[in-house]
Amino acid sequence: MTAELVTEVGAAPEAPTRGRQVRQRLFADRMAMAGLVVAVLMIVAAVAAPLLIHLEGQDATSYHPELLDSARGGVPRGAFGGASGAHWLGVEPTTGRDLFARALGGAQISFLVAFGTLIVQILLGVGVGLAAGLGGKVADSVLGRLIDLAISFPQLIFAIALLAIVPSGFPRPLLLMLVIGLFGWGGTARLIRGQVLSLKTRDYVSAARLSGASRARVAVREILPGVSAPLVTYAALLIPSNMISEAGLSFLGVGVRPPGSSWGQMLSSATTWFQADPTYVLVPGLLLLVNVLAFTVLADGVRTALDPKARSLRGGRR
Amino acid sequence: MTRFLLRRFASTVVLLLVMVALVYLIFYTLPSDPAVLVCGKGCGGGQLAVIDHKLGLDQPEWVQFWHFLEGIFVGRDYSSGPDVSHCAAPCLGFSFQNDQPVLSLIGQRLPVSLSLTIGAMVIWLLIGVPAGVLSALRAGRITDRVVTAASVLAFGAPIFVSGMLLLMLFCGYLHWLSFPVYVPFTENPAEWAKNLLLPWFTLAIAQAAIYARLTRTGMLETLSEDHIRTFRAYGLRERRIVGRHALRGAITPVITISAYDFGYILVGAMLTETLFGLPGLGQLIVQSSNNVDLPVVAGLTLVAGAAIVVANTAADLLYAVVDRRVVLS
Amino acid sequence: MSEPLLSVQDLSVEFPTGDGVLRAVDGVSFDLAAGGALGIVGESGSGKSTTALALLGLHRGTGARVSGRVLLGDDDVGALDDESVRRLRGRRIAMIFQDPLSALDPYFRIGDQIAEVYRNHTGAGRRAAWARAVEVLDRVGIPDAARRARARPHEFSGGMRQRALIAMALACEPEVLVADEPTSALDVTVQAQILDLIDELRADTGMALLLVTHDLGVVSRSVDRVLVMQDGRAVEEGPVGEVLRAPTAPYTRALLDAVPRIDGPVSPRPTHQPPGEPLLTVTGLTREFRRPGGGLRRDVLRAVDDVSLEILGGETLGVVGESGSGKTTLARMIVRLLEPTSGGIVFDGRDLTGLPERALRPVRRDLQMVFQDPVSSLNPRRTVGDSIADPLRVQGTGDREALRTARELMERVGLDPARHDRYPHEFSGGQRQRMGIARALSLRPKLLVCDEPVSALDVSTQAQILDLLRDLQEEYELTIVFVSHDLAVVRQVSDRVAVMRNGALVELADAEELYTSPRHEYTRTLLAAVPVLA
Repeated sequence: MTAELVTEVGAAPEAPTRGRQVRQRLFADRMAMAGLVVAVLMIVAAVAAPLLIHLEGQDATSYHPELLDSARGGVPRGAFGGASGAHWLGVEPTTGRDLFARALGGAQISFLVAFGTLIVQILLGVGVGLAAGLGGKVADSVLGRLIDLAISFPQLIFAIALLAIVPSGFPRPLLLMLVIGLFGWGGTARLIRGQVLSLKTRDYVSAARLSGASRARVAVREILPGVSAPLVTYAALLIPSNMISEAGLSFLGVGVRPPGSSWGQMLSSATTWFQADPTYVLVPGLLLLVNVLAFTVLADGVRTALDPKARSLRGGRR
Repeated sequence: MTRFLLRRFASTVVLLLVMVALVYLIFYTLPSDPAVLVCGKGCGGGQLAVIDHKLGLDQPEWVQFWHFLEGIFVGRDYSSGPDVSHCAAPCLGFSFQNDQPVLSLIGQRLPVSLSLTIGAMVIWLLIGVPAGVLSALRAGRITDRVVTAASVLAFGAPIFVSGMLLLMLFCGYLHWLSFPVYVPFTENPAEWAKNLLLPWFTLAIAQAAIYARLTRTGMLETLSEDHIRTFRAYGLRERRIVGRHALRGAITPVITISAYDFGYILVGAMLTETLFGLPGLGQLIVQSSNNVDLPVVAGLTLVAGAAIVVANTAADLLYAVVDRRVVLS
Repeated sequence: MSEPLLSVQDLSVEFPTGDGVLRAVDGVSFDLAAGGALGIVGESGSGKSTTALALLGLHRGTGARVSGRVLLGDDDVGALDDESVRRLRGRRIAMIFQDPLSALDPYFRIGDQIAEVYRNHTGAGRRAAWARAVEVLDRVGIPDAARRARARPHEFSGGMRQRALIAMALACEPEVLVADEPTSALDVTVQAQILDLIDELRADTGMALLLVTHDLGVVSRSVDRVLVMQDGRAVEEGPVGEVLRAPTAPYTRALLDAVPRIDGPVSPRPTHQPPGEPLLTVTGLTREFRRPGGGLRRDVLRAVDDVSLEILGGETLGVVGESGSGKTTLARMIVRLLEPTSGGIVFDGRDLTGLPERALRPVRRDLQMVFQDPVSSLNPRRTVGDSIADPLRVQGTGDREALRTARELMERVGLDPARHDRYPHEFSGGQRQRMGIARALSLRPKLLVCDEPVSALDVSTQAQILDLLRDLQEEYELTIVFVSHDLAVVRQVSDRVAVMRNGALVELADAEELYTSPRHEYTRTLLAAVPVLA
């Protein structure tokens, strides 16, 4: 009897994941909902950044030396990094630029790169994955090897190396999307390929072939629908991972360059100020942390809502 | 078994050769004037001509690639008249900015990266695996939830943020530690360890989260398998079932992923090394990239690729050894 | 009967589930005498395995609620503390399981696993325990036991693994052996060997046997008394001969009626048209698979080896064989789901050999297939109506017309057409198999290839599906190829029967002739191995 019970449970994920059911499960997940709220707030703030900065009455590039204590090496005057009604999150040491405005600029970059990269990753990953899974034996063994390569190679190192040889005139955010995307599609491709290969062996696919359906029809009707749920799950996890990659590259000085602002880049220049001006570290650090956590928790919620039995994924980040 | 080893070895070699060609293509042929890039910022016209000749850029490209390959296997000289710089095999290029072969630059940095990787690995295994086991045995209860929540937090936090927060806490406020400065182990082991504590833990926390999740999943999976039921049905003690049979199944992926991670972190701990100013391989690649010291970037990319390929092969071999069910193919 | 060795009184087991409590076992009582043999039979969900697990107290710590008493001698398994129960297990009452591969730890040598159990209960030294392991492995008929004890489970065949598990059970000389579907995963010839071994050990050691199975034939040959379970309740108990010959409970009677017999009468075959002209001719059909790990050397497995046969219009050709005999590969080649490595297929006068997929498409509608696994044979993301209508749509029928036909077919195969917009997981295994049949029939094929169509189903469902197939064959004038490992089922449905072994066709004859006077040695072995309902 227990054996039967277990197989019943095991068979459950085979059930179609209907939109309503998934939404219900997702809305019942309080952690995921908290993540969703934070994520939405962040996105709204990033989109409305010009408005908010206008409301504050500052901009991201003006220097305010009058707010700095030159005797102490350019630390902002006043508590909490010089936070005040005029500068809501204080100002940057040495330059006196408004931190609120710069942080919002960082949010814009973070989302822009994260979602832009996601598009590159999905296009490449789904394309290669489908080609490997649906193509013949030769295509699969060649592309399969390529996917293995793309996964096992350290994307950050390659990204850094590539960023070194690209002319400095190239728009940085676009370059970041391309570079992170170019080295980060392997996971998606492996997922799609595995899923397609597994679905291909199902008897219902054989049945469709037996009815005389063309390859294209079998792929579209019988195989692709089974690929979408895991793809959504995986894509949701790629977003925070891309945010970290962008921030990381900018932190290393090879990502977004001044005068553009990125949380990673702000953190990098804040490294030497952690004792004198902690606010300068905490603003970008906590924003990045909260944002990434919100998206991670949300992605985890999406995963459990779509497939309660799925395992968590490993991100490549050090 | 030998056949498996041979095949694996052959494919590894092929992979490495492909990588060499790729790296060469990207770094020595794609840039419009490699000499400028090789030389770095602020190079004069006279210097460029010398480098052009030294690199053999006045020769056809396939000859250049041949020289590059030759360098790797037998070494080569970068010469122009009386000024000869020898680069012994395996020559991964020559850094004109540092006036040193790339390999010796790498050699200088390797101990730092090794120190960082080994120490961090010991810590993350010691934290991650027991936490995962505990979490699995107490599945659904408070301990499990705390471990899971902590691992989500640690997993989600970017390493340079968590490192910075640790730095602020232990250096800025508590003053328990000073800002890390790398001290070689051979000089003073105690200082070596003390200075590496923060980098170790920064790396280890993020990794431990992954390992805890991995171990937990593995344990739960193994515990639900039929052979565990068999041993229960034969009256084995629960402690023995968990410690000997369940752990054995759960630890397999941990071992193989450790091999992979070791290779990865050895060459790829860029964020940690940059944050703490540790002069390791990761920092070298970042610096070289910022200074556009292309031979170093190319050489390091090769080394990184090689490290990952070797680590992958090692992971596969370990897997085959640990999991006797695997048919070696 | 003297004082029972094992006495179960009013046993109930409940599982708390998402919606309410599932009562898997409901007030079951029985006794097992020392040295006796009791069989528990029932279909899936009858609670027979749950009962077996309760005898060893294996529901402890799982959240299941157990009530009633399980007495082993003077000990009440339900009332003892955990430590005492632990000491009972394996020493006084041992258990063997259905799937002998997963029941052993893949990472450890078989000898070590047996030795571990032995040491656990006797405190023997390493060397003595190893010697004991080798001894019991030898006892259960593992050749060269001293060497084979060093093997890991994956190096053993299915039958050998089950022997190893029995050896583990023997290690501490228990008073009772509980066997939960011990031979269900095994081929029929191996099953016979394992059952013989259990008989022999019982005679030698005097241990009692509690055999849980769905197979009435197995019960009939292996135990003295039988308990029939349905939905958690015991519906009938008695000496095995009496119960099987003159069942009193209606459920037992229905069950016995549903069981296909290898002897006994065969239900009449439809005779709508005299089988005559070959519909499909197969000549020298061969299929090779590259063995994994073969490397550069051509290390191939011949799954089907030079098979030639004719399928006559209107007949049912049964194809039987054990696992690895190539019967499924043959079936898939006949409908051209698999390309033959060599050989020819002529269908309805047309040579299909080497026909490319595009040219094959018009022929496809005449060649359809019913699959074994009712879970994987239907797309979980498409409604039942769509799944059945899809082949029609592919062949160009309009959407409305296709759905109408799909609903008619649902009605014809015994499904409620109003449920056409539901998804497969809302249906039972038998219902899903009906959907698979409806889909295959939607194009009104001439040839229907059924690959183990009833193997995943319970006996009573199985009988219904077989009836349905017979009716449909008449109505649709179908020619059927019926592939199965089950000799009794094949006998019920076939006009002619082909026996396969290791990819080759061993014997092909009229069904009656093959079952009554088999000519080939292997066919005789197979038939002799099938447990007969006495």
